[in-house]
Amino acid sequence: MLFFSFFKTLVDQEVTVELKNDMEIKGVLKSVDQYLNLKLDNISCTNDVKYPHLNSVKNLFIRGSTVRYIHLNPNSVDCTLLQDASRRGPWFKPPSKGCPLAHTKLQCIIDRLNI
Amino acid sequence: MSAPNSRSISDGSSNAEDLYLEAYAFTTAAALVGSVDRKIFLLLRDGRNLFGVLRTFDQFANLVLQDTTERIYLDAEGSKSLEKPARFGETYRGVFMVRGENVVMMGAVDIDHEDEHLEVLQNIPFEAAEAELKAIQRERVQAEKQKTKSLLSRGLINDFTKSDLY
Repeated sequence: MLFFSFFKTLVDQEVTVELKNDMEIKGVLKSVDQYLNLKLDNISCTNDVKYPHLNSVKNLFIRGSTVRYIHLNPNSVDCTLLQDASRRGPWFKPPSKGCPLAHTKLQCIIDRLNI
Repeated sequence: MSAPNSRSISDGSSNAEDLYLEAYAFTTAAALVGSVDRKIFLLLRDGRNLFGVLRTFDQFANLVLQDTTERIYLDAEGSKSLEKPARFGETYRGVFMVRGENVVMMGAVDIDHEDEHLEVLQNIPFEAAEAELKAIQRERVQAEKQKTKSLLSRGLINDFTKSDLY
């Protein structure tokens, strides 16, 4: 669920989705679901010579299982937060008392992300 | 697209989406509900391009399409690649029920512009196009088989399955 929550924070940002067939689609992320299916708006294909029929398609639903990479704007990713969050899990118990400021901040963000 | 038409399309979808999004934000259903009863483009994992009216769907992206046409794009005659379409063939297929796992992507088509790219392409009979595409795909599967073999001999894995020809 971590990456689902992560992608939810990226909604309304421009992303480039690279599919397993090397097709690259740029668009504004509109929605993501638990399977990491994506809904993109205002799409454009980097190789529109090969896929001319996509010119008349404006919003696209992409099934998560066909996605290889999602290229993001580095400014929209907080790597430290993501790394810390990925270490959390049922096996990880955060210190309950006297937690440093950084941790409470992380906790706040994680609570907000609803992880 | 003419301006009033584009407004009606986006208005319609946003209303339906808003309705759903309140209760089901960030679900497959919320992403697809705006395309219901619209003409959509659907790419399947076996490489088929389908154009039809989306009638219903579920949380796995199982879809039902009505009045579907299948279209095959091919490069100029004699070319063995699929990089720059120069010809196309299409045929009427009727109703399609697609299992979600076979979906690669789908999106609502702008019906005022959908045929624009076809004007520069040559229309050929569907059967001929299908035969030609099958031959290209057969060759691709053969080539990938070779690649898998040689990669495997070096302890590497080729990420290719015969059913993924999109």
